[in-house]
Amino acid sequence: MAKGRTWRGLAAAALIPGAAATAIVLLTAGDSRPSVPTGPSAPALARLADLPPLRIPAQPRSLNPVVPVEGRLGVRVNRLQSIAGGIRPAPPGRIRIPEAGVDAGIEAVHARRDGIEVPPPGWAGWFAGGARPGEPGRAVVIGHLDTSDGPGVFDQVPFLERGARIDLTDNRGDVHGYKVVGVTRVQKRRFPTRAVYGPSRHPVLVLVTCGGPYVGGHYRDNVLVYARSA
Amino acid sequence: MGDAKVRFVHTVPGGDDVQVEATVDGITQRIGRGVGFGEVGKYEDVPAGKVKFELLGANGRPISATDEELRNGARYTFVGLNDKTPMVLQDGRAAGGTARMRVVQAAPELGDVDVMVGDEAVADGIAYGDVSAYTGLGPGAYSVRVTNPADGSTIASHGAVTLTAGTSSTTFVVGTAGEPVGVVVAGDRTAAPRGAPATGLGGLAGEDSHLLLALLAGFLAALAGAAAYVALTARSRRGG
Repeated sequence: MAKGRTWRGLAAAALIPGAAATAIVLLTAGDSRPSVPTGPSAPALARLADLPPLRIPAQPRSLNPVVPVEGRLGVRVNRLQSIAGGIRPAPPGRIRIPEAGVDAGIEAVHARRDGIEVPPPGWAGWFAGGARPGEPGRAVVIGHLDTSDGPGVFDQVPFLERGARIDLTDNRGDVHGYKVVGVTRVQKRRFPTRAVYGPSRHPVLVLVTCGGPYVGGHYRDNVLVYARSA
Repeated sequence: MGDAKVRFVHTVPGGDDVQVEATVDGITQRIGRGVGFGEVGKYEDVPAGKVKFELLGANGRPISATDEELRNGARYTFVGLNDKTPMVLQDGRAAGGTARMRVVQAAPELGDVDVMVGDEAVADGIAYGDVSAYTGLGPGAYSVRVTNPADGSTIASHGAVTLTAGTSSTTFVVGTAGEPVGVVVAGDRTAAPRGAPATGLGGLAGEDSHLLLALLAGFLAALAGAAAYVALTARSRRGG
């Protein structure tokens, strides 16, 4: 009986600290690269990015049509039409982020039953169900942090700083410029769907990639970069 | 059975104190507490199934009621009307790449009206208590106007409504009975993928080294714990 207690005590004395140490190391294991702080909340950044453009972007002429008025000298500019839709920007075709070394093509990605399609390595993916860059709403562009054997197209995106320039060129050749307002890291199991895909009054860009610890074959977190129209 | 989501949009003019109750299987819950006239409440969980909705005036005086079968996971908008059966509208899904809008005419005494979004009519001659189908619109910033079908004159307008691709929304025409006619626009749904993007395959992460480190730390801690236990029991035996 006393021998049994001894063995049970020995097992407990070994297993408890052993399991605790393993758990602590696994839970605190971070990315081997510099960590991206969790930063402000995604909804706060979404609000910050939803501000009027830093300057009035050059509009395609078709957005501000000049309408001749019969019987009058001159023309009348239909100002309502100039803000009421008109011709949409084309879907994006390329993304350039000089400060993150990104110069990549963009492929349209769609919602699937279990989430969102991801673009092939070397490409960024634009969520085609949402806003296009240059129009009101949050344009969402996703990209790989890494592949199975090296860096991905967005590997430096988590380290973008406020004010960094992002240019998206659409399929008509128009360039839509944005400036970063903030970066945040969120756990995937608490992904802020509304703050990423929800509506906004002005053109907003959200870049999404992975981050945080890599455990069980997956990154635990997503890194979100919010940018406002510039 | 699961839950549906229901929100209350206060369109009852002169009825600041109205309340909405939903009763399921004898259990009653209040919806849209504190929502004032012309305001849109948050979506709230209501058990799916047959639900009795009641619109109550001040001091709990019943104004009107209706029964509705709610589906699990669906979203609904409760629109109270002064002198008619309230409407429980199922909110339509958003469609990718376009903005969808419908119109609810909830202003008594106003008669039929047209509702224009920019230059496009999204409701033609809509009567009090009616709801239009969703119309697809190009994303953009629009002026929403309520106009008189007879002469096109503007009755009320909302200066700048931004409609985003991948969203659905509802425009409510509200007012009269002492309240000015106005336009309230509420967002219904957003087309969003489920879950988080999986945008990493681990090439930069070094997961194996973390696992080895964790196992090594566990082994060393276990060894230290066992050694401490042996030392303590040996000392207590000697002491005993």
